[in-house]
Amino acid sequence: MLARVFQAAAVAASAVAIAALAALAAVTVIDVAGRYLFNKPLLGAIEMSEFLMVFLSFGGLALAELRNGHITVDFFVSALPERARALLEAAGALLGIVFWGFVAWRATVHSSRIWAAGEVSANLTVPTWPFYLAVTVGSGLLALALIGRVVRSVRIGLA
Amino acid sequence: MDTTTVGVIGFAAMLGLMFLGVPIGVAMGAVGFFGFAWVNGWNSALNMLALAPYSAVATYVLSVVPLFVLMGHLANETGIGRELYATAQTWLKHRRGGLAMATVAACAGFAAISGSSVATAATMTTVALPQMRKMGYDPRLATGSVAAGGTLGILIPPSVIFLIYGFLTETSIGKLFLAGILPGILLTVMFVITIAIATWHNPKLAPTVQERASFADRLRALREVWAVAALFTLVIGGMYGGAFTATEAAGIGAFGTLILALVRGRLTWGTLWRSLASTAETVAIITVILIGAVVLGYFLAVTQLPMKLSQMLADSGLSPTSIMLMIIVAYLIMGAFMDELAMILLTVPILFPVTQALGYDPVWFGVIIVIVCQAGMIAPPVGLNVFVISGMVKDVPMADIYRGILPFLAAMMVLLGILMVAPDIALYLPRTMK
Repeated sequence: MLARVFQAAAVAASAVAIAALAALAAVTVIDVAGRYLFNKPLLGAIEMSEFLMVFLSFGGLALAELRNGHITVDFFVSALPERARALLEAAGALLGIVFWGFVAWRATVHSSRIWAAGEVSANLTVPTWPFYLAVTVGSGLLALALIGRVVRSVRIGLA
Repeated sequence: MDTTTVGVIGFAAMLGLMFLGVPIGVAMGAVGFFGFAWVNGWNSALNMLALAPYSAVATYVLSVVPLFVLMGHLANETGIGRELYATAQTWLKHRRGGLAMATVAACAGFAAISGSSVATAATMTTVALPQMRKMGYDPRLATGSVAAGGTLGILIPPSVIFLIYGFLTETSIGKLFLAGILPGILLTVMFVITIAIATWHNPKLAPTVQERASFADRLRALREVWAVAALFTLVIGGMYGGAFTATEAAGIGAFGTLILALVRGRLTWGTLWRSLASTAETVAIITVILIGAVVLGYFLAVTQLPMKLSQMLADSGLSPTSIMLMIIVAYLIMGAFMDELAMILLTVPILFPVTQALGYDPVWFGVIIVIVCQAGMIAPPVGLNVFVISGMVKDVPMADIYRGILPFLAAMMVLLGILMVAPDIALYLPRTMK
């Protein structure tokens, strides 16, 4: 049950990333077309691209983990017996949880700080805290996905 | 303990973690974060981690990467690879080894609209490999030409490796792309010659030679490639002429590929969705390594390791050429074991200052980096392209694929030598750009 809910959350975050990608392409094309065809570039296009990059980059993290997408050097490890390999994988995933957990925590703290300070972006003057919160959600989901990997690997390693 | 020692220990620990199978991004990021805390204290490490991951990705310059990746995926999904192969085949099928030559030529054409080596290899595995197998080509030659041809994807612009290198070193993307064109064409020709020599030496590699296509057929076949030529001219020409920034060129390229597919009735919701989804996944994978590399970069900067290293090499009394040769050999060894993108994110920030202190041109070094990455993508024991092909063709053992790529690997080494002696092959075109 919990796993199903989590899977759905990862897919939803990834859908946000895909939407951000489509929007990024659209913003770029509209900006260029505006400049050359109507002599009127899109206001704040660069800033929009930067914000969309945050959603695009962090949105897909958890789903990529669930699909085993993240890159490792497995040449040396592949010589080990399966159980040793599984335990090493669990340890690596644990380190990942620590790192992404820290990233999520720090992004949350920073987000609440700039929310309290009322920080807005330079060109579009929109509040910037939601974009740091996107970092929290993306890295947080990745850390949660890694918990699943730890559980699975430990089971194999101690079987 | 002085900070340089901490840097060396941290770097060694990171390599150790990687080789134990810790995901590359996490190994870099965790060592970077804890190492930074060790040198500068917890408070500043926690502050660094609040800002670094966000600012690593929230940059306009970097948005060029997803857009060019999207362009490549769209081109792949809408069958442009198949057309290119059909055309190249019409022109080359009457020669011994002609289908393998056509594979390399089609790879070069596909590379002109795709920035990824893996995508190019994957496309040609589905398009060209079945044809060669049907004609009785030796599986070693067939898979070798696909694997090696695929690497042209990152030398001929657009190229994800050039983008990341340009991003890391603040070198002009436009100049890097232009610098890849002539070496890319040269390497394509060298691959074709390699196939000619191999099949002349051992005709059993390519037992069948087909009838020559008529001149009219050949001209008709050329019409199929106008789409690729138009896209390449628009994107690379637009950057060259200064009409677009790199990001704009990428956006226009992706959009243009979409329009072309739409006009020719090749676009479905399915292909569009698949292109977007696989691009988003590629970006997620890059993001993890990028954030790790940026966090590690903060740590290395406070330990002053890159500065000390370039000082040490400068004082060593070795000639710039021998230091460059050492760097290239080190890259070839690393590339054999590591993912190439991770390799450059990890090493370019350290080695780039060294090459600058030695007086090497940043654009030229970018081309060298791309070629060593190409070699790494097909070199045993860990060749990304070989894994891709092996995953799609189950009946050819990986050892055979590796044996098949050896002549192509040799051609890459020759190209590296040529570029050492005649750097102008890379630098001529960028010099003509304003």
